[in-house]
Amino acid sequence: MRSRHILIPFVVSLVLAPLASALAWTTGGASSGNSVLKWLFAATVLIEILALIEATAARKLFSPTDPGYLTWTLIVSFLVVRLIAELRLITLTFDFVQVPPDINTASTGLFFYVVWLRYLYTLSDVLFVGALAAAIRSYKMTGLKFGLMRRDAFYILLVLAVPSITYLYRSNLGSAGLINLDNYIATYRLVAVLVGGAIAALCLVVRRYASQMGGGAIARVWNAVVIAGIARDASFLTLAMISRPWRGVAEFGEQYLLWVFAGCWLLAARYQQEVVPTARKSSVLAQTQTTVPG
Amino acid sequence: MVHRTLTQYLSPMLGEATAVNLLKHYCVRMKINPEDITATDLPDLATSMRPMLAVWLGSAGAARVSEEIAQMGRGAAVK
Repeated sequence: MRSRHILIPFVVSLVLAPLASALAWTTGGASSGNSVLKWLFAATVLIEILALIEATAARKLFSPTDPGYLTWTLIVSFLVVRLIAELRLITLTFDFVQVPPDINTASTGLFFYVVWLRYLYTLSDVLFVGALAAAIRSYKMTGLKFGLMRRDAFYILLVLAVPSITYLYRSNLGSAGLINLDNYIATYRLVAVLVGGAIAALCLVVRRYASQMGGGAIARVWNAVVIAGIARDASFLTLAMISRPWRGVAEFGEQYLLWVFAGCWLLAARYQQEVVPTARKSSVLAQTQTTVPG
Repeated sequence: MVHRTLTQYLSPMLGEATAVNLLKHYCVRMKINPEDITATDLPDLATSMRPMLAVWLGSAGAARVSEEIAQMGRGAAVK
């Protein structure tokens, strides 16, 4: 599977998904809109499984002594933990696990499953932070001049403001989402958006370094990771800011951004494997051997 | 000329700016002017660049790219 075979359907899906949601809402009302949302979530999980497979393959390109090995090990761990969290959410979204209307009346096991296991997402995000930090360290290890610009400080402050804005709108956090089983979700979302702010800030650093490479396949890998990180953070902001006036739009917006997140991870893992492509490499070699003077 | 060819070879992977900086960095280490690189310098240049290439490409990818750069030099030397 080449990256272009992923990129084109992915871009098409970015157009089709909102159209499908709008059509469902117009023709079938909220229940149809919610069905589209659930299926978009299921498709997102499927893409995350593929992203994990591709990230595992990308990790194999590095030997344990390579700096990239740590980065991709953290990425694979992040995707594994996130996938476990997503499978939990699938059981709740599609009612494979029955939850009483008041979660406080549930058994200890069910309470743990519903309320505490959602922090697996937070754990996965912490691993994402680790992966980004390892990537930044790798850039620095090259000894080449990668550095931040003054305006980056402003952008970083801006993304770090996202948790503060979300905090201000915290009363909206418990009111929307794919499933609403308990009142503890607002606290989780505040924690998540805080870690998300750290992810977004580190993404800006990686983005700056990638832009200083002047294009190329490596920059493409990290640009895709950066879009994934920003989309993850933006999903919480969307939910927090517009769920009160436009609940349906906010719920779809959150899931749509997570779809972007999953798609970008799949692309990033695929791009990493295509950095040294065999076919192009041979032709370049043939060409250069005719042009290098002796 | 060799400098330009090498930059063209590395740019699709590392980006043009990184390719140029990488060559400058290793030319300084080898005490040669980037513009004065000859085909006979390529095997040494390839060996010294390998650890840095491994950061982004992994050891196996870096070995392949480094070997190809060395081959450019050997191929040109044979001609």
